[in-house]
Amino acid sequence: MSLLIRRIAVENFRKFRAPHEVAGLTGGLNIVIEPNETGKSTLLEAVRAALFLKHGSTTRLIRSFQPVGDNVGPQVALDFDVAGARWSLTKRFIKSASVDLSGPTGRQQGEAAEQALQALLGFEAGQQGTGFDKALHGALGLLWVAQTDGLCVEAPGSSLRDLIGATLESEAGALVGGAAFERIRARIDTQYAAYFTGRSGAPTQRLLAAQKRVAAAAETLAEAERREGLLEAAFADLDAARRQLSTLRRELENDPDAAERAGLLARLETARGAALQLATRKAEAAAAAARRDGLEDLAARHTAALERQAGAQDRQQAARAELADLSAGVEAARARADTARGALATALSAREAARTALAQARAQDTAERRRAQIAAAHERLAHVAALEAERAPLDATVRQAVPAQVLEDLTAAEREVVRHRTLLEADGTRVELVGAGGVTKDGTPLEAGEWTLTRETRLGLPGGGELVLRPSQALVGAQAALDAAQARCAALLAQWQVSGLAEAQARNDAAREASRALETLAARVLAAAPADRDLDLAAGPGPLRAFVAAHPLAAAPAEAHAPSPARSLVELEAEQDHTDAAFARAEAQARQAEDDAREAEKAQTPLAIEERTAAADLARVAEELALLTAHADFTDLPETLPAAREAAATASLALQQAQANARAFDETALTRRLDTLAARRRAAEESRADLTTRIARLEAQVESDGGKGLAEHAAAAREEDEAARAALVRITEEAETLKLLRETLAEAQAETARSITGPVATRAARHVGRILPGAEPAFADDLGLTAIRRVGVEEACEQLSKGTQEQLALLTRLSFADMLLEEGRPVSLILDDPLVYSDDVRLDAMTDLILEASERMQVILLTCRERAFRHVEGNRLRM
Amino acid sequence: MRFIHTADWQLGKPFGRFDAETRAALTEARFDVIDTLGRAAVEHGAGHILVAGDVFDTEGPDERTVVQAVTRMERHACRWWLLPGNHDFARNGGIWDRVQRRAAANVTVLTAPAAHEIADGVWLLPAPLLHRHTLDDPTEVFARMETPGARLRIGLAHGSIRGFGTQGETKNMIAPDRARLSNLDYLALGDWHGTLQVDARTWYCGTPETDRFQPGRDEPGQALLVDLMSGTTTVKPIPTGRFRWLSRDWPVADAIGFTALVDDLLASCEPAATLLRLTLSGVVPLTDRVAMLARIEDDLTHRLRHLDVRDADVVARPTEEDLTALSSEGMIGRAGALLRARIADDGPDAPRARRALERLFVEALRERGEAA
Repeated sequence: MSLLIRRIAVENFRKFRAPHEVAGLTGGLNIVIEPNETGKSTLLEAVRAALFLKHGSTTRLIRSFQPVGDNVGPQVALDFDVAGARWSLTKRFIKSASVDLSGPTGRQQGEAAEQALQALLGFEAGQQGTGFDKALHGALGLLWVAQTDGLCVEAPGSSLRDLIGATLESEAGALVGGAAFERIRARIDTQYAAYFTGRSGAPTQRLLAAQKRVAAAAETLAEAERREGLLEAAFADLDAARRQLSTLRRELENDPDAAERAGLLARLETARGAALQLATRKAEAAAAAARRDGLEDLAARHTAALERQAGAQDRQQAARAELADLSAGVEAARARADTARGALATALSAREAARTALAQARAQDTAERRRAQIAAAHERLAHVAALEAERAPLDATVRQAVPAQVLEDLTAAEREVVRHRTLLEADGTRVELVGAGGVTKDGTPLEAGEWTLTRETRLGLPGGGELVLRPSQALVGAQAALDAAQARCAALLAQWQVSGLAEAQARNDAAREASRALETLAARVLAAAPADRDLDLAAGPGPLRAFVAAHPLAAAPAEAHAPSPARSLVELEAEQDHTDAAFARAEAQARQAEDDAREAEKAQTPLAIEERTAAADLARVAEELALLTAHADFTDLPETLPAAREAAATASLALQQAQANARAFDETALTRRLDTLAARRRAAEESRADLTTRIARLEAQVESDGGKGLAEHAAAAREEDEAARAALVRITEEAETLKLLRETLAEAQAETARSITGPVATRAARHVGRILPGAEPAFADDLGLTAIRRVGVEEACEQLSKGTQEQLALLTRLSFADMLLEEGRPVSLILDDPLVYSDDVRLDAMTDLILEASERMQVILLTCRERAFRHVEGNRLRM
Repeated sequence: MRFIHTADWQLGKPFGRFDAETRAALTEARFDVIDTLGRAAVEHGAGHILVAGDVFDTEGPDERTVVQAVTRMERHACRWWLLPGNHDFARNGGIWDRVQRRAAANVTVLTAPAAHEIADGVWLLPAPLLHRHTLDDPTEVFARMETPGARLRIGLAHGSIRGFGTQGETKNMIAPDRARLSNLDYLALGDWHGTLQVDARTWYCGTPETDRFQPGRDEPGQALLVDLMSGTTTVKPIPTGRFRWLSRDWPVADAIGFTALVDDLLASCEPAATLLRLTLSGVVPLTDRVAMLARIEDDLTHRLRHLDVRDADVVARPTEEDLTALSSEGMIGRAGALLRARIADDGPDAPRARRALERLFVEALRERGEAA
């Protein structure tokens, strides 16, 4: 079934204040190409307003239809065909709002007309908001694409989904419950919420309460049972204590130990008698044994004394004999020692004599040598004096030396004299007197001859006149300088008392020579006065001179001059060595002899002691024997001793008997046993007291706790525990049932959705394949296009390019339109400026698809792009 | 000699599985039955009431329980003879010492196995239990009791009759021919909660106020009025119980049958004094199942004192009609199909799936009802 819009007329609608009409719309493709701002989108909006908005409504959207600044009634009139039947609709908003629908069934106005319109076009009348609610506008809402919506790849509204679902009934075999389903599901959800939280599925409300009840009941039960258990334990203790007490009482009353105690006491009496007898026997036996022991001791001591006496006598005799043997040896040794001592004294005096001789000889030798050394020192001093005498002339020569500066000055002065003299001779005026006498010169007569005039000279002429000769001024200066130099020279020579420079230099050379000779002389003096360690003399002439002054050359003593002693030092030394050896030998022999003598004496000492000891022993034994024989019992000893022995044996036997008797009645054991019996009775009595106290305490506890009804409470707690568990099981089961139902409902919905999306996808794939070869569209459960799959890779819609998104949006709409058409719904496609993002190739493919669609349904294409759609075949219209 | 034979009062029983209100009512009824017994004694001219054990439910009851018991007994003009049973066995410092501290002159606690001459020539031989469990026959003590000048010998004991009921080793077993062995004119027994005659002279009286569901025992509690003449024994039950504890096991096939059963039951009892344990089984159509649930939840449970329904064995099978109705709902039908598949698999969660399907069906029906 197709919806065919034939004419659209508007007045007072936004920019169309004056009546404006687009007529001549046909089935198939209608193309309206107009520039921007011509009112194409307004036209689409007017169509939607006429069909979907109630005339009586004054929402903001509707008020926005009024032209700016006018308070008028916007009006839209439509002529359209639905399933071949012609309809005419006029709707006016706000001012004198009205609706008028006329069609094959007649004419309707007001609300009736609105309802007829809804029924005819299949949309829901809902509350209008600020914009068109496409969800409410059914198929046409989706298919009439406003400019701004073209890009959205949106899901259809639920009512449209239902429509599509109905379309697919035959294919999918699925039914969609719609609102009824949602209501049931909401009720189940509400019930479910009484058991589980929505998000995490954790127990809540009833289930939680049941769980808490179980926990609380378990806790109460545990406490009740614990208290009951304590009480029961107290009962058990009480019972046990009572039984113990009655046993004890019986024991104390019957006293099973009484007979034993009596027997024990009787035996104790017997035991005490036996003990007394034992003591007597012990004393008797002890006395007999003492007597026997005393006599035996006496006899033994006597025998021992006799033996000791004999032994001492033997020892004394033996010692005496040996001492006699040793005495001869001692005498001989002593004689040898005396001889040796004499020899030693002789050797000693010989050695002393030799030593004295040697010492004297050595002293004499030393004195001699010193004397010789002192004499040598005197000789050396004489030599030094001779050398020092040589120094005086040399020193004088040295002293006459002219200093070098003086020499230089003298040389310079002489050189100046020569220079000035030469100068005067060269430049002086040569004056010659020839033949005349009596001529004086400066007062002195002048001899004929030639001279050089260098200064003013007065020549007394023989006539009494004077001829004054005056040389040039230069010559006068030179003469003065010459005179000064000669004066300086003469002064120096006079000062140093030399005749001339040559002599001065000669003196200087002589002084240098003398100075060198002096050095040599000093070295010789030093060599002539060397150090002498024997004389404790330092080097140098000074110490030598002092030494000599201190040690004058003494005249040698007379004996010193005697000829050397008869024996030389060497001989004396050999003799001393000889006497030393002799002394040592004599000393060793003397020591040996004394040692031998001492040894011999020492060997005598023990024997002497032995002898003396033996003598002392003999004396003591004799005393002892005297005492023993004086003892009272000694005389009868041979008779009394055997008798005493016999008495002791008899007493011992009697003691043994008494001991056996005493053992048979052990008093200690009997007493111990009696004590044990007493202690047992005492302990029993104490236990009885303890038990009585304990029983009283337990009785008090039982009485106190018994009144608390613990058993009844425990029984109640047990039943509550069971009830709570049962309730939990029941409630859990209810909860699980609801959970299962809820899950099943969700599963059913998902399955249904899948059964619808499948066919939608198949249809859409046919179109999509034309534009994007090999791509498959994927739809969500709400029929929204979510992604396309290309070569196995899924791409989310929002990731695709704008152009592709727009194309997919249009393709999806085409698919829905096709399905709705199959369903027999009034379908028409209005596209407002579509495909603005498409490239030429895609645009051609898309226009082909639109052209194909226009064969099945009316398509109205509003566009401002003349060039893009110029070639497309269709019914062209102008605004 | 005329006396009332009763036992198993089980005072202080907690009834923890019941809601608080029911619990209070049941507890109170147990105390009230003492008054009922006291009045019955006076009414029938019985001077003695012999209680054959288990006066209290536990050996350590709440003080209120003890006080209620004693004060209610002392206001009736008869003598009460209380025997310790296995629930309230006698021991030093135990429950009976507490009772005796409070007991009135007309109450005697028989904690010792010693004969009492309760009337001229009439001797009462008690066999008190001194432990919760004993393997010996507690009535053997009768042999050692002196009853000089006895005209009538009445035994009072608590326990099972040997070779009777349960197999194997049972506690507190009494010789089945104890009355004959001990030359008793009457042996009053307790422990068995229903009335039961063992032989001509031996009786279990049963509990005076029922305290549990026991299939086949519908009658409310009662006591026995016993007349002893030399040679003849007359025993007559007297009703004492307030509440009836009914157990019903109903196979059901459809809602109509179920409704009929419910109506019959309600007609045959006093619903406010009835506790019902209802076990249902059978295969029913889903719609019928829903209707049954509605009857139970919206009506029956409110009429009765207490209702305990066990319907795990009811299989609700949807009819073609049900399925069609469900299928028209699209996704709901789909969900129903999924659940049916699970039920058909008969896996461990099949019962749960069955309940889920029922629930879904209930919701779908409600949806349809609202739509209509």
